[in-house]
Amino acid sequence: MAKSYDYLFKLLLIGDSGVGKTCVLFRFSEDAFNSTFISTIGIDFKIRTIELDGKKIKLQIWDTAGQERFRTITTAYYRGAMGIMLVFDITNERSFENIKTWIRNIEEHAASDVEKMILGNKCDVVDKRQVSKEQAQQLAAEYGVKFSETSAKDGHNVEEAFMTLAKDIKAKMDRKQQENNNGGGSHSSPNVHVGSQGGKDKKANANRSFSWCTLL
Amino acid sequence: MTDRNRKASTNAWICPNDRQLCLRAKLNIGWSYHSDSPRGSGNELAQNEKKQIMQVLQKAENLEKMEQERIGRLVEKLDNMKNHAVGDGERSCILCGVTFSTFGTTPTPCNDCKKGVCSKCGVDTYNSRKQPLWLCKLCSEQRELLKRSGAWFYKSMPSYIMPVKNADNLGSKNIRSVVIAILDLLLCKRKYLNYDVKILLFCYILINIPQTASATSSTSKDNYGTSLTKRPTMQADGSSEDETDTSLSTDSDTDDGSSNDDSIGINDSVKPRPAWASLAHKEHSSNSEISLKKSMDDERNEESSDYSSEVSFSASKVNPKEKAENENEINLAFQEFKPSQADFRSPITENESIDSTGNEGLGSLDFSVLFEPIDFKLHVTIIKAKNLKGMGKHGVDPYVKLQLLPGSSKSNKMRTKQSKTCNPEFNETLTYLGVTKDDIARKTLRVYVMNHDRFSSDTVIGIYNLKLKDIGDVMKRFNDVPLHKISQVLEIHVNSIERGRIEISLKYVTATRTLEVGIIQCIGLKAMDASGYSDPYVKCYLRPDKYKITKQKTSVKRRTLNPKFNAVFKYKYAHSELAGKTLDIQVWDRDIGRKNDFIGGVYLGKDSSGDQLRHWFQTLKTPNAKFTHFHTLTDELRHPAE
Repeated sequence: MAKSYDYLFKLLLIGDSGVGKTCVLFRFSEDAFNSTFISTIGIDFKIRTIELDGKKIKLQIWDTAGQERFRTITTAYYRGAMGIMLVFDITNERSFENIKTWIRNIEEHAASDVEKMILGNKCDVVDKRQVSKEQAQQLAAEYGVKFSETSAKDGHNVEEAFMTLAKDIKAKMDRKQQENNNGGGSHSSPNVHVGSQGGKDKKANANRSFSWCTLL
Repeated sequence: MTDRNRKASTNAWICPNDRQLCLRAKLNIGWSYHSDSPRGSGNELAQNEKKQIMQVLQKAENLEKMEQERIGRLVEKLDNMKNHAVGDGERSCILCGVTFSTFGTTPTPCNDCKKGVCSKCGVDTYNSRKQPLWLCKLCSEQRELLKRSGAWFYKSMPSYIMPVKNADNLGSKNIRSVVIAILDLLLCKRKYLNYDVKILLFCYILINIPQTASATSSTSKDNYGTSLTKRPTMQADGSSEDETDTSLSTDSDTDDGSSNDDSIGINDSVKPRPAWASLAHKEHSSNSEISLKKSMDDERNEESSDYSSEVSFSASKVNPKEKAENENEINLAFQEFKPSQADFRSPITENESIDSTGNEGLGSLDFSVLFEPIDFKLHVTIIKAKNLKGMGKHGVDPYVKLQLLPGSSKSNKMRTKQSKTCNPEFNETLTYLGVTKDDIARKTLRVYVMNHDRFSSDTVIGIYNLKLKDIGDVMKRFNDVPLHKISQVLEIHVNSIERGRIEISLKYVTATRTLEVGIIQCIGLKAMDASGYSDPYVKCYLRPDKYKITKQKTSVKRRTLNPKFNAVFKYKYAHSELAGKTLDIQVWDRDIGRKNDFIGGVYLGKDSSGDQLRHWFQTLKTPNAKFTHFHTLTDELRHPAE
């Protein structure tokens, strides 16, 4: 039952009530859509395993309630999240303005180096659009965050958005690791190896299954 | 939107309290008051909502547990690898221990630990900038662990659950198959046959005696590991004789270790490092690395405090601020469920030295002690030991033994399970029952770190003495206490007067007019037989009793100093009659063929004093209630002249 995976990433969806966080997640995890509005109670999560660079990554995506009254509960989950999706509704200007509030929330509660991404949901509803793509892109650039317009209804960009976020986290992970291990980041100089290299050794070296010396 | 409406309709306006009105008057900021936190009745969670959230939390917790188990497996894997690493990284490959030479295997230094590895034990990878990277398998595994566990993000190792070893039933099968495989290998390669008859014999014994197999299963499993990692490198070396040598002797290790060279197996000179120690010892130990180690320690701290202390639990209860009553419950739950809280502690800068070896180099120990005066319990949690000095010929099998001194030796010794490394983690709580305040004031807890030796008596690696009067009622944690040699510590005089203690429950039932005397257990009885044990039983009289008609006995418990009787004696007497009686409880040692020995007794009645008197009066004063107490046995044996 337990599927094996290499990494576990914890993601979080936040945004105003009714912007479609649950629907985006539903689309991503089950590839389905439900148009009835059921307000999320407190918190919920879904799991999906994806593959990136040959590594299986299990995504645990927390879906939070946008409603104010669950705020105490939802903020408890900011800290554990490696990536956060800020979702707003392009047909609701107020939800877009509130993105700033949400970002402030993240700064307050989440880990400092958390990956963020802004999603403008409901991009299929063209005739009721209140927030232009440029506006959103500008805001995203201001905060140095990636932006993507999605539609949970027709599945536009949803998959890509999560993939991008996961990729960013993985890249950060690899980078961090490097810093951690390398300290100064110096690559060991090849001189260290050369001790073994001499004319009479050549035969022995050639026999080795792996030897960079033979490359010299 | 709905949110706002609800708020407005229910409780948007709240009358401010006097203090706030007073403040407002002083600050001159007007009288309009809106409750800043919308936590009125509109904010309450309905019952079904709570239920739903709880379900999600449960689900998350299950997932979290699976994840912790997964990390546990990873940690174990790395630990195993570290334990099997035999080389020194200079003249021999750090992992497989093959000696480097100009002609044969040449060393390639690992990028992380800078130790030399042979080509078989290294991994060729790329770093994030796509530069080639040569890592030994240990370091690459270490890197993987950091990524896989999420430690890279949380800056500390998340809590994990080590997989339970079911070696006992699995191992015996395993070892059989391993031994058979080795025998096969030996037989098919004729040239090995002349090697060592003793080893073959030993293998034969292993196969045929299942008990032996299971007893040694864990070691042999380890050896199996070594021999596996060994084989390929030996082939690379090209000397076939060497090969037999090692593949055989890894097994003969278990025999007596004398038959072959010492270069294999985990011997004294090689110190297996813990999974994380090397992190901290790295040359460029950056801040985050240190904090990683530190916070891991913290975590263990927390883990261990979870074991027994209600103290820590109540501490976490204190902080719900001004939340509505029924929200508390859920918030509390959240604090517990919050995705592994421990992960998010900010890294603490560490001033202490990383190297925490004891001053004599024997190693150090982390443990905690909690005394519960109400239950007469003393919990000792052995957390871990570090840098233990390897002693035995057969590697280290450390375990921790406790003794309360002064006291008879066999009744108060307890021990943990064995571990297989020099840096064992025990995380075991041993509990002494029937410990009184008087004991605490007087006694010393001696912690022995022992090394198990399968073929001779176990040796003491080091000990630590703790005067119990220093601990108090709160949990005390002792970190990195250095171990001493046994000779350096003053021997504590063993007090032979100590006779032990008995736990008795008393209850007077008015409906049936009976006194129920419950003999629950005895603790730390004096040993009366040469074996160092007693065969205790309990006799009970209700005196004055001329004809011994009230005599009642429990069964005899064989060869123990902490017998559990759980017997109930009933005496049918009116409440008024009891007041003049004395309950005489005696503990005897049953001897066959000679007179039974009196171990100790306790008297409860109006003539007794102290705890006994109190217990007796409590019982009579409050009928139909059960009172349980520990009483210290005295050597006084009354023979009433009646």
